[in-house]
Amino acid sequence: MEFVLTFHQPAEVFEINDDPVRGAEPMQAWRLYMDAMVGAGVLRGANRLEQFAGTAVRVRGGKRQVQDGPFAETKELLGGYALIDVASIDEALKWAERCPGSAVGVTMVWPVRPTPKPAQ
Amino acid sequence: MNGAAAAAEAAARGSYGRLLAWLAWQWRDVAAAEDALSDAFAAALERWPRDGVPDAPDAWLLTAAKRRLLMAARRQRLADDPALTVLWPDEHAATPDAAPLPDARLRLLFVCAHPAIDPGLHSALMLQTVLGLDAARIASAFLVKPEAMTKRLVRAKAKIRDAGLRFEEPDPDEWPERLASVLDAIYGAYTLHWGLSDDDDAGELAGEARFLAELVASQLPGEPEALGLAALLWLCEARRPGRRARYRPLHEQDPGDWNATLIAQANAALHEAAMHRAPGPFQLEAAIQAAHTQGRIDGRVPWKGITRLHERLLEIAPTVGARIAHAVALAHALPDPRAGLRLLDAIEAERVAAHQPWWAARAHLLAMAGAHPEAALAYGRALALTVEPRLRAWLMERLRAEEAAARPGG
Repeated sequence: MEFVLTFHQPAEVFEINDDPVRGAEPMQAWRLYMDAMVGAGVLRGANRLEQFAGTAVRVRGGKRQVQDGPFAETKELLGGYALIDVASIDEALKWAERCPGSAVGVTMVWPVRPTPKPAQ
Repeated sequence: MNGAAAAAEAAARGSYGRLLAWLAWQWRDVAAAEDALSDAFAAALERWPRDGVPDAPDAWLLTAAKRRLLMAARRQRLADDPALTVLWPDEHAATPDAAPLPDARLRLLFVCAHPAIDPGLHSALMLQTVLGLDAARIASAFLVKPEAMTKRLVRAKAKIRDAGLRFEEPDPDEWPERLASVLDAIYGAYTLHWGLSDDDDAGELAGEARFLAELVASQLPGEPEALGLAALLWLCEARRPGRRARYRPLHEQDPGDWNATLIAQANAALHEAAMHRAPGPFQLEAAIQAAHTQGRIDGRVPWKGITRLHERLLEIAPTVGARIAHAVALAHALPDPRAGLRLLDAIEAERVAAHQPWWAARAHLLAMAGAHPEAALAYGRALALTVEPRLRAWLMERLRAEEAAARPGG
């Protein structure tokens, strides 16, 4: 079963992580975490995102609205995601718990909805 | 909190399991008994502040719960056959019965760990029924979606009712297996707290499991494995104060921090169990812990004896955990870290790829063998698989030490 883990953390956590000195330990923890998922054979893909540079696009009644992040309504910023393939939701939650981000922010676990095969 | 609320709280903590076990036993329906008992607690919170706390709060709660169960049963029977109405007593005639309640908690434990129930749910069912923990808290403890845990518990209780699982003590021929399931589930509940970081919550859960182990040991004093489990939990608990501040492996702990009373109590229970000459996994585990504990007090760990205990344990219960512990003990007994590493490598890779104790053991033995770069990698993997903050801090220290040792000239 596939799940997407999304990593949400407060802005100050990203500031620490991006600092070469203060961020050394957390960034090593993230590397070790990703290595562990690769080692366990569950990781299908992962990326970091430019969490401060998100842009929102909305179209309402034919009118477009473009807005720069960070967005005031969310305290925690989306800093990355991983796609994993595990046997059960229980196992997905276990990987979410191990995520270094879970200790300072929140890791969300999203079951991937299976897509029907395209008709030939 | 006012007096009535406090009394209801106290009754809930002290007698929930006792009341529920008795009701479930009488009605053979755990879910209905839970509903009735929670209604009774709700009624108590409403009535007691107004009318005063009754002399025997437990008896009051029991009577109220029984009344609700009778009413529910009568509604059901009325629907089935209205002619039965007259056979049912007036619920208001029921008076609080202060006679001591037979303790049915052991029966309930046997039902919770029944072979017809998914073994993965045994501990959760015990925590909910005998100890009254709510499903959300149990879900967090097991790291399961709360909704899924609630569903699983509801299904298990429906099965107990619909399959008519017996609340009687198991027959002699199935007794050892059934008792083993009960003890396994209690131990499972105890080990849950290792994964939790919140000290209070963790300590509380461990305390609940210890309560269950002591309950079984006191009700079945002739069962060496029940004594073995109690001894094992006492030994683990005896060393908790030392672990609380900072994680330290056993061989770095200060025995002065340990609870000597609990250790003596555990040793006495182990001796008593040994008289039965029927060693089982919990007695062996406890004996291993006792040997480590005594070794630390004496200043010399008896690794050869510990290795033999591990070998006996492997004959009975060759779990991954037992194989890992055996590998480490053997490496120290010989001493030869490579021999331990060979045993670790013999465990199927897919079973240990994400198993923290395997990586920590491997790291320890690699460091012992002087293979510092490999040890650092293994400590890193163990760290990534660990959630508990104190254990993480210790693994990080080890990782840094191995990284330093691996550097040229380090």
